[in-house]
Amino acid sequence: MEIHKTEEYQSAMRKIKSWKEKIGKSERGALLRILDEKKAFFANMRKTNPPLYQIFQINDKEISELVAEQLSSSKLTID
Amino acid sequence: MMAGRSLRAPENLADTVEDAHQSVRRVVDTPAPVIVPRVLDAARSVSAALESVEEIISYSFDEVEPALSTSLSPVYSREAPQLILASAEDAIAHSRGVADEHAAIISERGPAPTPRSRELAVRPVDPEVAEANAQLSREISGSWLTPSYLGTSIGERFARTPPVLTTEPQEFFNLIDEALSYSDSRGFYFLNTSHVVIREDESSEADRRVVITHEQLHYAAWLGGGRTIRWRRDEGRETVLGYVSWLHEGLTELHAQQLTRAHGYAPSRVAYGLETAASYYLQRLVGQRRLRQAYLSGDFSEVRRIVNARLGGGTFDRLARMDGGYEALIYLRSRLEAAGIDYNAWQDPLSDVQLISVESGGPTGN
Repeated sequence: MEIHKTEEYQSAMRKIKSWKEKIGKSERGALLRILDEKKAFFANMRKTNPPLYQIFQINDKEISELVAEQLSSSKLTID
Repeated sequence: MMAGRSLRAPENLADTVEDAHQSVRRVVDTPAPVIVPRVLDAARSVSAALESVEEIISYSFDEVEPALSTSLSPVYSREAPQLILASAEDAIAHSRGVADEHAAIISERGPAPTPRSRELAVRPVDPEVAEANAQLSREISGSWLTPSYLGTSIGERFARTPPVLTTEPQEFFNLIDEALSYSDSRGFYFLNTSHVVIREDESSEADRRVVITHEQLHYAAWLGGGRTIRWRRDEGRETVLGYVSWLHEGLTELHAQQLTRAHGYAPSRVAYGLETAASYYLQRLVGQRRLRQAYLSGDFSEVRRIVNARLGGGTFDRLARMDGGYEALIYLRSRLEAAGIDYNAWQDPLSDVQLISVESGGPTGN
């Protein structure tokens, strides 16, 4: 089965969209919680489904960049 | 005509417009109870941006940079970064500031980094490695990313404020990764500066060259306005989509790989394989020069026109709004098949990219 039709893929897409929507309107504490959630979420994906993580690696780093833009003065492009 | 007046946009124009863009986005996404302060905030930002934009709207476009005069307003293009690093010492000091800031984020999230890990993050690397990498960086910025490759306008600005590279220890990368919940980062470009960073443990010369080229391209594209993807629609209105991570990274890696390989070095891996493959398909559709110009300037009007003409109206707009390279690759392949274009026949020295399997979800090469 193609990965994008699996529930795991669809669920990850929903999660990513939800984080991206929250980042623009969250205070510092909520941004830090997003980072914690993201860390646990992608650590588990890397361990249990590496091919799926390869698909979402770009989103993993994008969310880190978006949060960094809000949290720190040094905006950066990772990798 | 505004004879005698400088044609340079105000230095902070791009940032001001971006701030306004972000503020308006926040309003659109905000639930009713908290919308009033956000509306006021957005109104202030938009007002500031309009004042800056008005300053350049009055100029004749004939007088603005030729590369951009035919299509979009140059508001996202920068003359120079705010922080220009004059020397390696400046860059090292900047790295220390970045490390401190990220150590503070870690402390906010949990136990503070130990003094030892903070010390390791900013420890000086082997001077021979640092100098060898700095030399590669100067060679790449001086001989590879020339005005003829980047285009005269961006190339000249890039040459006036060339990138400064520092080589940092693995612990520096670990610190930033931990602060931002990422892992295995291999390079950074700090926006609004000329500072690029590579890891000390990047061993082969080909791999070091491709990472340095990749990070320098991020800087060149930042100068050119390439991080803000936009286009002129048929009826003349400008659409500003903003930063599209998958497309920007895919195009950065595609160009870094092709440049590195064209100079006789074969890197052992391709970063962002899916995004790079999707970008490669775009390159085959629209041509190298046209895609490179779009990547560096952010003006995708021509790329969009050709993609839509070959693959059907609306294709590029949908593609550019996707969240990742995997989704984009599946969609592109379906549009290519529908248009009767045999993408399997496309061969390129970037063979690793050719081996990417959509079905398996990742690169099968290297």
